[in-house]
Amino acid sequence: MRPESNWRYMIVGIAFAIGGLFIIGQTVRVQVIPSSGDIIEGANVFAGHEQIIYPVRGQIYDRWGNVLAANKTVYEIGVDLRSVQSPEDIALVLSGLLEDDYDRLLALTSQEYIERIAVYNLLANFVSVEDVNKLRDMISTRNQAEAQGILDSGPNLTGLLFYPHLQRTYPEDDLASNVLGFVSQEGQGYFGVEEYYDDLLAGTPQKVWIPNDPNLVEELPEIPPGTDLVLTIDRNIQATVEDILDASVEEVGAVGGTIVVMHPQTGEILAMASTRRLDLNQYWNYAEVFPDPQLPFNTAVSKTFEPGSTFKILTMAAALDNGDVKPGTPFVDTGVIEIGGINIRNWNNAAWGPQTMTGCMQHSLNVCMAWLGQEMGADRYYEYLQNFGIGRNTGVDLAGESPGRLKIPGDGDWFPSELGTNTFGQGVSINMTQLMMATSSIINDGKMVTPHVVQSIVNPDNQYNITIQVAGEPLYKKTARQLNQMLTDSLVEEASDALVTGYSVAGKTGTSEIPTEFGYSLEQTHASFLGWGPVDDPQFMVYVWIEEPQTSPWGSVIAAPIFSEVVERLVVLMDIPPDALRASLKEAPVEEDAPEN
Amino acid sequence: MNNRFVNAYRQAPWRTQVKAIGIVAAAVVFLALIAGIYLNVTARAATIGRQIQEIQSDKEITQQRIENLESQLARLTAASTMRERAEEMGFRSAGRDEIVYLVVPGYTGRPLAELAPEPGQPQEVPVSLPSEFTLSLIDWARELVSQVALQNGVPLEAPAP
Repeated sequence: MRPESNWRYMIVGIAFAIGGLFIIGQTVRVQVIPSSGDIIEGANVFAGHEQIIYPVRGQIYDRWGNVLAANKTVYEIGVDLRSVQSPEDIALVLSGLLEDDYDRLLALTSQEYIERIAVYNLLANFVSVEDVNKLRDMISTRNQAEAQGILDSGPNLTGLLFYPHLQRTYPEDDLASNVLGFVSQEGQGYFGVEEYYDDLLAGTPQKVWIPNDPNLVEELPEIPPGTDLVLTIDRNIQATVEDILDASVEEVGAVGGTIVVMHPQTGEILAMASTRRLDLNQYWNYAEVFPDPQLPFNTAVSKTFEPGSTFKILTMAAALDNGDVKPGTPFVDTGVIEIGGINIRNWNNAAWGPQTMTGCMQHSLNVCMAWLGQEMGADRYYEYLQNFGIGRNTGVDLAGESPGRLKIPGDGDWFPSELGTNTFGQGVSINMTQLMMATSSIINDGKMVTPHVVQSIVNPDNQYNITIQVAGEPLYKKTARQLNQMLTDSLVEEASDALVTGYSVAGKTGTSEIPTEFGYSLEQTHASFLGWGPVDDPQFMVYVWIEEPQTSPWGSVIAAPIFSEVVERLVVLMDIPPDALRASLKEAPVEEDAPEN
Repeated sequence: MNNRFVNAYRQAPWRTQVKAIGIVAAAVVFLALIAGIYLNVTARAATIGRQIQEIQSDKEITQQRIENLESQLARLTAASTMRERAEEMGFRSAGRDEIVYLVVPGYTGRPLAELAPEPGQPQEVPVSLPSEFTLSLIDWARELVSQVALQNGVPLEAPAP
């Protein structure tokens, strides 16, 4: 190396050193200056993006595995503002196809592209696959024509983007809508099972980082889907009950009605039908179906009302259980009894003379019931009602349960006369499932079962079946059996319209006057019937509640025949043979063939 | 004299240059080789990363299609649809007094929906990966030897005395 060249090498070396120092200095600077966060953030914009991955919402099935709620693909449609060539074409096509406002769409598609500020505009969401396929066909047709050199061959939709995602769908439309509830476009469950089990159905969303650098790509975490639910609802029973209810309500000119079918030994709700039903695929029509905000989405659990004479079942149960009376205990009905300063009379203002307790139930005598309350005393009577769960939520797994109101001695608004009126179902408000739960104690040898609509909770690995929940044991076994027989006999002796040929059923009618701010309305009533069968091995309990019927005010005339009609179909749908056949099978059990060796 | 010896044993300048060039060239080739391998591995990783992204996207779309098909199937078999189809085919609901009940030994009734096994029940093991992907090299070799030994009837352990 010649000495005269040294200075050149020196200069190059110094230049490299300065460059190196500059790089190091700059590296340090961008990390310590106040705006370093912005720089890092700016770099992250290009490094990738954060995405929240939502699990697929769990499906809902009926007890046999028929789908009641599922998910379908819909699309978000937007425009890439940089690529748009004809905003007018896009706005025109979409306004026609989606029945949207042309000016709004044109404003969105015409917006000027500004890097990182105005890049993408959302035009429509939840667009069906069919509509998107039409748009894709238009794009495809134009592309093919352009490839062949044909110009102006249809609307220019360049710049349209489609992003698929899932939306809740209900294949049965309005069937069991009161039980199911619905899911909004934001993914929030409202009413029914969708609200009550929203967390389970929706699953747990996870935030993941999606890098743009393919070298950094990692497998996305396995996000478990939402939990599936199998309901206790039987789709066919539900459809049948809804049909019967709709026809009956129309026939009697009622405002509305509700029928609940429960398996009384397990608490499984087999059907829960109301006349106001919403097509869940068009839940935005909610206000049309429920114009009054006071109207409950699910009458069976959210509507509280005075039950009327069906409540006498509990009064008689309490009196029998307390040892005050027996089924044959005589009672002379004088037609009036005074309790707490008011006179209580029978439904027809008549005196029915000598009766037994079975006769009191058969003729639905208010005076007899009030006498029973008086014999028991307020403390004991209300203790029984509280043990029956009156005034408390049953815990049924549906959103919006309302507990009603049971006033007890000591409450500021309780008066001694209420002991009399409460015994025949006035002055106390309940929801339908409460009375069904309380009455299940008569069927289950004194034990009440909690009503429920979910039979199984299913995750990808396991199915957890819900077991029977005993809600309490308010009665002795002997009392339950006595009352069961009394209510069977009273229907037979009354030759009730609730009876079904070949099947033994028990139950009680109810006619309740509607309380208003001016007292009870004598012109409008709620007609009801609560019954079950077959009596020796009950498989169904049916509660019929008809709101303000016009043809007759009485539960025995309006609700009892509906009960009978429902049971006629139930025994077929539930494969329940007539009593005589079942008895003969019990006497001569069929031996199974021995397995071949 | 000394200079003569030095010059006599000194390598020719061109040899020195060739040697230097050779060393530099070897270094360059080595670096190029490393860079090439790195580039190759990086390119493959990038390609696979891209494939992962595409497969994940495909998986999501497939999942959506499955959900969509399930909902379509549910709609086709909805209660109202099935009833209409049954009526079109001339069926009607049987009345209570039209049913003939038969005793079928062993029949315990229609089973409720079972979408997954109950907890505690043995679960079906999904198709597993080949052992080459799940065992360590030593375990895999040991398993291979035992399989070969078994096939040839050779006992794996010495019989007890």
